[in-house]
Amino acid sequence: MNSIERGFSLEIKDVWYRYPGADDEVIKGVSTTVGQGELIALTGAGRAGKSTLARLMAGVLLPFSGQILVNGLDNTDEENREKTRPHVGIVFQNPDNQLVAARVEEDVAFGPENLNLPSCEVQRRVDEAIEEVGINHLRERPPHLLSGGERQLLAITGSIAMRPSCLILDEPTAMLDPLNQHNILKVLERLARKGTTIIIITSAWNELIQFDRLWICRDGKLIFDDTPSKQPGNLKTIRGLGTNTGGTAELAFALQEQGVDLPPEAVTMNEMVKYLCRALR
Amino acid sequence: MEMTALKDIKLNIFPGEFLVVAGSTGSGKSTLVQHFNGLLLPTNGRVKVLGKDTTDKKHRNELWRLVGMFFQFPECQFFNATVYDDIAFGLRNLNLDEKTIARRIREALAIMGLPDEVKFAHPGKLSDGTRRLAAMAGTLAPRPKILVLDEPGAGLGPKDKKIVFDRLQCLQKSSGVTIILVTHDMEDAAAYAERVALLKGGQLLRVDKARHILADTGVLREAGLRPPYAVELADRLRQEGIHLPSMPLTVADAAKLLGSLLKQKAGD
Amino acid sequence: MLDGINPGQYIPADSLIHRMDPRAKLIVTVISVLAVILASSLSALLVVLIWSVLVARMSGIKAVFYWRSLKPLWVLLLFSFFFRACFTPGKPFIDTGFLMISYEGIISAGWLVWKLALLVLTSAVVTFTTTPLQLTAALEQMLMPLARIGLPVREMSMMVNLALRFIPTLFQETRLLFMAQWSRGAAFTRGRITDRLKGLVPFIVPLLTNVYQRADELALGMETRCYRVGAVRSRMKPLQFKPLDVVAVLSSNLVLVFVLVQRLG
Ligand SMILES: Nc1ncnc2c1ncn2[C@@H]1O[C@H](COP(=O)(O)OP(=O)(O)OP(=O)(O)O)[C@@H](O)[C@H]1O
Ligand SMILES: Nc1ncnc2c1ncn2[C@@H]1O[C@H](COP(=O)(O)OP(=O)(O)OP(=O)(O)O)[C@@H](O)[C@H]1O
Ligand SMILES: [Mg+2]
Ligand SMILES: [Mg+2]
Repeated sequence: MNSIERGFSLEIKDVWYRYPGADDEVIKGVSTTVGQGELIALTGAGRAGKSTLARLMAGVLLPFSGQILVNGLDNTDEENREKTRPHVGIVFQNPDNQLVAARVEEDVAFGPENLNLPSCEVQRRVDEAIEEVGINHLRERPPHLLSGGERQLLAITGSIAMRPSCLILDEPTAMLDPLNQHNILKVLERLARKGTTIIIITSAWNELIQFDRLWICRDGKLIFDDTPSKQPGNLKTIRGLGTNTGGTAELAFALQEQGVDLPPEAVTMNEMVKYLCRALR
Repeated sequence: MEMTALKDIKLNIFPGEFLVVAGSTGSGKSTLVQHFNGLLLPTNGRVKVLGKDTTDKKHRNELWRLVGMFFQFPECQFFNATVYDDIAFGLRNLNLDEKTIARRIREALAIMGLPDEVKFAHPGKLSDGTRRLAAMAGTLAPRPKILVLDEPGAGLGPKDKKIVFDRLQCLQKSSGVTIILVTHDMEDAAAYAERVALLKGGQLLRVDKARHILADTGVLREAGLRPPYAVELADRLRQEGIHLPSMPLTVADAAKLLGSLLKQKAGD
Repeated sequence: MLDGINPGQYIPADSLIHRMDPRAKLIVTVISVLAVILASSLSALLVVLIWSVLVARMSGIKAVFYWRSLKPLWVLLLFSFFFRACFTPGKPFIDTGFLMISYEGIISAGWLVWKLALLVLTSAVVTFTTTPLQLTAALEQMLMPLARIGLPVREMSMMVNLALRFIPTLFQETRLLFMAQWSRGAAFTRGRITDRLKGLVPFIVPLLTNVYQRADELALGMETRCYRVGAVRSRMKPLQFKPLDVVAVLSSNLVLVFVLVQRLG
């Protein structure tokens, strides 16, 4: 856990990417830096290049120009990649490609075992991860016979058990019910507070605008990189970019369109309720 | 492994309705809907589609013409080198001529809001959302009477999602297609469903008109779901002593109700 | 219909056999297989039968599953039966002139089928109660001495593991493709036998490409989880011989000794 002590950093320097055989670039000059313990949401319309950017950051794809530095080490170098791989974990959109073993518990252990950790440490991490995600009841089941959402939970558990310094999740909760969605978000928030950098790709969350840092990707570029609720104008910009801003913001905008004057700070339901109580009593 | 995924389910689906099947993760939604095209047969009890039992061999063999099935992981649904060939697979089994097939594919892709070039693409090289939409086009193209869609909105952005659901509703309203939609997002149910069936632990918790179920926060919470935003808001306001004249289901409803209330108040 | 596709894979349960060290399971299996093959007298076969059934019962897995693992082999069993029955010379039992089945033939064929069934049962106990990862861990450790003479044991065992790992994937892929094609009216899933055969080609070809693609994606998935070919891995549950394992190995040896004594005596 050397990196945590030194602090994790991910630097993306003017990265371009084109899939082999394709004509057009999918990622067109992205530059940004990510620090330790940040919790970032990445969103954008379909085909914007979110998944591609995620794969680049995790070193699954290599940029065809530009650089990606993990803890200062250049990702394009094979030897560096071996070193940085344990630090950057990724969960793909389709969990099936990452499930390896014949039992849930064994599958969660697969990653930690590859890190060659002592048995008791592997066991501890597996138990903790399973407990946190709340899939204890599935422990003995074979992964390929689980329901879609259950497999998604398992893929997340397996990546958490490896305790990477940075975890990238591609639509991790698309098939989860609200309770599990909420739980996973809480787990990830806890991890972030303990120093793990978390990057979540999602297109449908209502909680998006409550993140400290939001990236919006459009046509291969990052066109928004800021705290959503920092400036009054931000929310409008985000909404204009086709992002789901959640029920409260939607309601606020709809009311404004009707000519109702709303204070701009209403972002959560609590705030909305408070405002309405004041106005309607 | 042997386990009972569904238990004691009694459900009538009416022709031409928009039914949402909802429930928490692992509650048996996918298992249930796979009974509707004869893919799975009940170990006990019976499933009748258009009046005939799915265990009837002849009926079961013809069921695919009537019931279009969109799977939860559509990436597994592709088995051809291009999107075109894949959509054409179902159409060719209907013995349509190539010209009709080409037209139907063009139409189906357009319905899903996809550019026409997508048909030349290799399914594995599409983004996940696009692949989902293309797979849905493949389900629509044979024009089944009953459409079963297992979480079609998962991973789609709000814009794509709205296009898809609006088009589905349009099909239902204009052509009388029965739509059975699996989801856990009650906002979708609020905007589109006529009836909602709630599953919990493989059992049918309740099935009723959408506005009854969606307004009942208790039963939704019991099913592990979250009520629509508007309902939750109305609930919170009621606790604060503010009663809305009617129960809003969608954010748009709520905006209309609250807008007129607020203006009235301001006018006083 | 899809239930017919049973990969004969691990079935979770909490039983003595599940808890055994996979190395002990492998040893017991090898010895039991030897005993089945070498059993030559009625009493020997009876002892072997009792032993196998005992082990199967202790595995905590329902008899139905063992029955199902035999089912796909019916054709093979029947074929071996007839082949043996028809081509063993001896006192005629049925003689049509063209085909002669002898008493000896029937007895020897029955013997053969009986042994084959027992072999299937014995191996089913192992595959039902042991996950591929456990199995290859056992293989790896047992073959480790050979690494000293330069054999790439670790790589070999991971290859076996990958092959075993791929069995469920293959079946799942088949299942999904079947579901996708069934839902869109593929010819081979229904109708006359000629239609089905014709539809088989459009099934097999995509199956192979899909499986190939899946293998590729899976390799990538394993890499993202820090798997490297040939690298040293630790284990969550280190292999450990317990008294139970010793008892099992000893008992199986007893059975084998009994069979050998019968054979020689
Ligand atoms: N393996 C591939 N080969 C070639 N082109 C690809 C490949 N994967 C993605 N693309 C293309 O790159 C573009 C961006 O895809 P990407 O998957 O990054 O989008 P996305 O933002 O994740 O979209 P979605 O929200 O639909 O998942 C798309 O136009 C897609 O067709
Ligand atoms: N092929 C299978 N064999 C055995 N059990 C299965 C199989 N498929 C699903 N199950 C189990 O049956 C239960 C219901 O699964 P199902 O896939 O119907 O859930 P679901 O409601 O669709 O969930 P999700 O929202 O996660 O997709 C789950 O507990 C699951 O683990
Ligand atoms: Mg994507
Ligand atoms: Mg499902």
